[in-house]
Parts: sequence; C-alpha cells; structure tokens
Amino acid sequence: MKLSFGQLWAVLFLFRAFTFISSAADYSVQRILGTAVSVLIQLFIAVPVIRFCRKNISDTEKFRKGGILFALYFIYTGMTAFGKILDITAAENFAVSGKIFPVVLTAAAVLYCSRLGLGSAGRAAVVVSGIFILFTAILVLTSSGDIKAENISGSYDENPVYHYILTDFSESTELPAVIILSLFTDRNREKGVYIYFASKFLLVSVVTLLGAAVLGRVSALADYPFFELCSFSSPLGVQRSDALFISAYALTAVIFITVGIVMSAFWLKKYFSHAEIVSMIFMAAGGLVLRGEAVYTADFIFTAAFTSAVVIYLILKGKRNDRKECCT
Amino acid sequence: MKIKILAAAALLVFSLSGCGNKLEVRDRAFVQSAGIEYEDEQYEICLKLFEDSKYYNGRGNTFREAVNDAEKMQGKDFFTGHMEIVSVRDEEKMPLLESLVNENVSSGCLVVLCDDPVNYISRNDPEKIKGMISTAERNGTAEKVNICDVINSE
Repeated sequence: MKLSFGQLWAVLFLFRAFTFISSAADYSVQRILGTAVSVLIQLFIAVPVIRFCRKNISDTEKFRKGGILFALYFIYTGMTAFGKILDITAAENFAVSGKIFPVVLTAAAVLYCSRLGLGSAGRAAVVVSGIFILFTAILVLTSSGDIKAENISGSYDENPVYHYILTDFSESTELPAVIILSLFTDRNREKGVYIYFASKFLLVSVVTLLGAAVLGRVSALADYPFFELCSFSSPLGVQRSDALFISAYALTAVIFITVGIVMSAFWLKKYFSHAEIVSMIFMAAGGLVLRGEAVYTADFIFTAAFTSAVVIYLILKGKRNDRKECCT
Repeated sequence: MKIKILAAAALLVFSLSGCGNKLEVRDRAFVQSAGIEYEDEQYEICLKLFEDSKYYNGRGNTFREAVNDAEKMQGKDFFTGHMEIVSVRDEEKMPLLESLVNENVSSGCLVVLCDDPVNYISRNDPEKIKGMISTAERNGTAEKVNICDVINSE
C-alpha cells in the first residue's frame, strides 16, 4: 500500500480542491493574503514532522495498534464530505436531488473504488487532478472577459486577513492526511508535500482573484461562490460550464472519500473483517446527520485537534522506536 | 466474480443516477427575459421564453414562488439558468437583484431599468431588447450592465 510522490501530491491536491469548491467563504484580496499566511503555517507544521517520521518510523505496519486515531480522522473527513455533497446538491442545480440518492450513489462508487486499494486511488487521483486543472483553466479563460479591476479592491469584504487565516486552516482538513499519507509514500515524500502546498496556494489564489475580479460583492451574497463563478463561464455563447465542474466535483468527491475509506479500513481491519463497509456506513450515516453545515469553528477545532493529536502521536512513536533501536 | 461486481456497479450507477428523475429538454421551458416588480410584499413577474412570443405572469412571496406560479399557465418547468435579460425598477433594483443571486439566475444576466418592468417585458421581444442595448452602448447613450455590475456599483 504505497504511493509515489506524484500520487501523494494528486491525492492531497484533490482533498483541498474538494473543500475549496464546497467553501462558502467570500472571494477577496484578504482571502488570498490569509491563505498565504495559513499555507506557510501549515508548511512549518507538516514538514518537520514528515522529516522526523522519515528518520524514525520506517514500517507503517508497526503502528496499526494506535491507529484508531487515524481511522477516526478519516471517517470524520468522509462524514463531512457526504454532508457537503448533500448541501451543495440541494443548493445548486444538480440532476440528483433529495437526501438519499446522492449519498447512496456516491457510497456505492467509493466502496467499489476502495476495494482496489490506495495505489489505484493514487493513480486515479493523478488523472482526476489533470482533469480538474484542465477545467479550472477553461474557467479562467472563459471568465476572464468579465474581469473588472475595480472589483478587486475587496472593500465589500469587512473580514480582516486573520479571519481568512483561520478560514483556510479550517478548510484544510487534509492537514493531518499530509502527514499520515506521507508515511505511505516510498520516496521523495517532502517533494510531493512541497509541490502540494505550492499548488494548493496557486489554486486558491488564482480562483479567488478571478472570483473577486468577476463577481466582486456577489461572491459575498452567493451561497457557494465557486458555482456562481462557473455560471459566468460561457465557453460557447449561451452555454454555461457548470456541468464541467459538477463532473469535476463528483470525481474529486469520490477520490476524497475513497482514500478516506482505504485509510480508515487499514486501521479498522484489526477490529472488523469488512472494515471498508463499516467505514463507509459510518461516513454516509454521519453525513446524513451532520449535513456538512460548515460551521467553521467546528472545522477549525477538528483540524487543529486532529493535527495536534497526529503530530504528538507520531513524535512519541518515533521516539519510542528510537529508544528500542538504542537498546537493541 | 469481478464481472458480477462490475455488473452490479453498472446497475447501481444507472439506477441511482439523476437519470431516474430526469427532465427531458422538451419538458423544460428556457426563460430568456424577466420583468420583476415588488409590491405589497409580493413579487410580480413577467417571463418570456426563448423563441416564444407569449409571455407568462406570476405572483409569489419569493421569486421562485412567482416562477412556479407562472409555470401553471403552461405545462413545462421553467429554467432560469440561461436568462439573458432582467428588468426592474431603479428604486427596487438592489434588493431584487440581490435576491436573484441564489435563485439559479446567472449574475451575468443583463439588467434593464425602467418604470414598468412587467409591461416592458411583455411588450418587447428579448432579441429586440438586446439589439437596443448593443446599439445604445455603441452610441454611448447607455451602459451595458449585468446583475454583477449593478450589485458592485453600490
């Protein structure tokens, strides 16, 4: 169960792409600045821990015992993903509607994909990332004609920069996954992580800048500014390119949840023989209950708590391995 | 075994996808222009469709309710996602246009300000209105603005 550094990048990029599309935060210059600071903070948290683990934790099989923490983290991310899917299919003009259909359909797709393992999910993530980047390029090109420089001032947004530092950190629920998945990466894990942080900042800042320039104050009024921006994109005259992003959204959701199921099942196999099914049921049921109401305070607490717990656990585990090697 | 799993997955995909709840294009009516007024806490609208000279009136507490009311006059679901022109009164423009942002109306929809939006839309062909806007813009006598421009101008 290993990823290459390119697959690590692709999986993490899609994690962030999914939460970015699902975000209700405004598009403004303040958000770009806040994201830049937040990315730097996350880099300073993640990279030292990854380097420490590279030296001190060589075999992921050895920490299956304490892995219930990681399983819970991935189950929670899956729950919030299902909840967000429900919220967005209800708010936007999606072909599927109602509570059950989107959840059951997604659950069936991810359950099948998760049976194929982390490597397959990584390979699929590389393809889906390429598709997503292509669609984003189409969005940028076709919306750029509606850019108005006077909208960029961000005067409509009264939130200060530190609000967006916290917003980006809250939305970056993949931060613990950056550390955990790097343990399953053979070589050049830091390279994959650096490229991920850079591409994440690029995605958020380019689309935010475009959204601010095109939508301006409308991004503050829209429930989901990303889909509002898509309604502006008309590659073929009257055509809207929402459908491209609905497809991209579905694909990123499948990858997001599939990796969550594979990883949580890795640790739950000790307790359940059909760990993938158990994980998926918890995620889907939790999503129906939570409905992904992205109360950013809860997301912030979740991201901060799980990141802290993962970092502390891995450091303690690494030091214990160190002591054992010294004694032997 | 793999073939059975694949067949089951394919069956699930087709049976649980949006195709079960699909609406054929011929059962949808695409709204091209809308005139909106707000009086006595009610929306009054007039809608015109693509390639249809008829107009449809509706009333409701929200824009969506008014659209649903207008649908009753004919047998199709109205889709406002491709709407090209919306007409409102100058003094009502901000609240009405802001209310359209989350109502599946593109923020790129052109805005025409006039004193009697409902009658204006009922009496004028949308293509003619678009032509008039383009001519006025070329002559410098009027500015071509969309919902986004009007909301950002405040």
